[in-house]
Amino acid sequence: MLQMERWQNSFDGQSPIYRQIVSRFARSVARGELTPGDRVPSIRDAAVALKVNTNTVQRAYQEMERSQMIFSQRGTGYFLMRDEEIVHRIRAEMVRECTGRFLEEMRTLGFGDAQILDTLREAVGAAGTAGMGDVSADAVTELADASREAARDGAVFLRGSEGEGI
Amino acid sequence: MPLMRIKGLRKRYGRNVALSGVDMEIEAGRVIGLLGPNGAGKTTLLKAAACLVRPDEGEIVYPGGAARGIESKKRVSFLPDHMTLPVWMRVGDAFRYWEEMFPDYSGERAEKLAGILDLSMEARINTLSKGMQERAALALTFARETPVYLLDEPLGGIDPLGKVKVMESILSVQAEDSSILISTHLVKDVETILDSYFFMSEGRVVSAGGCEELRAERGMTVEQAYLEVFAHAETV
Repeated sequence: MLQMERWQNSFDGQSPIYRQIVSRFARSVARGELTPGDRVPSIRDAAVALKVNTNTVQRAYQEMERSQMIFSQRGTGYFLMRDEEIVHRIRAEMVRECTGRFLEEMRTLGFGDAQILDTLREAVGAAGTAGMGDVSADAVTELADASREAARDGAVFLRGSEGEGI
Repeated sequence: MPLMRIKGLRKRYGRNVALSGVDMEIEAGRVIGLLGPNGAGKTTLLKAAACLVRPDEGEIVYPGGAARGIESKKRVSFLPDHMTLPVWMRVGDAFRYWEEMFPDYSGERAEKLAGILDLSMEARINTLSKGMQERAALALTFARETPVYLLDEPLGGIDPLGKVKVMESILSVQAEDSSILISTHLVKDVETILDSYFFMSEGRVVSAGGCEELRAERGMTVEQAYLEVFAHAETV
């Protein structure tokens, strides 16, 4: 269930609001709050729910249409793509985004890759989710694959289209 | 073609200069913030745009030509800072009064807005809180179908819930063929509903631009830009 009202008041000045809206939608898809084929609120309803200018919401929707995240059906409104693939694409991109940010931060702090992996093993082990602290090489490979896959897809959901004015 | 063009507007009251050369274009389909500290000239500018104040110099031009008298009043719906509604009326009477006064009144819009703003048609105006009176005045302003809406401090004296309702009203009437100019110093409250902004100080526009451009190019909220421009002025 999509609860857009929760997004309002959380927009910042770091990037245009339309991009922040696209990114919120992507997160909702990744979390399963919005599933393939679901109807997306009309531009007007979204604007009222988010307390965001109608033109800004329209821009976000255009962006999502262009990146084939949603489609519009004349007269009936906007829908999330019906294909499950959309969820995989978005999740892969989020993995890339999260790991990328984590790696960058760790490298800035001066950690080498081996140390970073050790830290991850330890953390995951402590959380008790991966059996006795055993993060397999496979898991890391999987992360890297997802990351590359997202890169190939153009990483359009979280950042909007790069290098383009508004 | 802009919905309204303000050209070289000047106005002084005795020795006080209220407007010292204001130029502004109001594009269609926008929600625009007229932002600045008290005494910047925002109210005078809105009144001049509504043809309630005659400028000393300059003019307001609409697609049909320069604004003159009663004709221009059809172009704008103006919400003054303090709209005085006849206190003996019920809210419903005020709407009927508006319907008789303005040919561009839309019953459908009035009903929709009364719903959003939780107005009771039976309530007597003199029993309403200040905030509810403001809401009624806003509903009346938006009940007219005009190309330009001028709102002078629509959030003044309104509680947080009321503010949300006011924003919802603005967003539900925003349309491609009309524009809404909001004068306020409560920048943070209106930030996300604005397309563009004009910062006013001492009778002139000191800065203007698009809000999304501001966030994209300078990584700044409108409030941050406002503080940057006015931090000095505010502390004087």
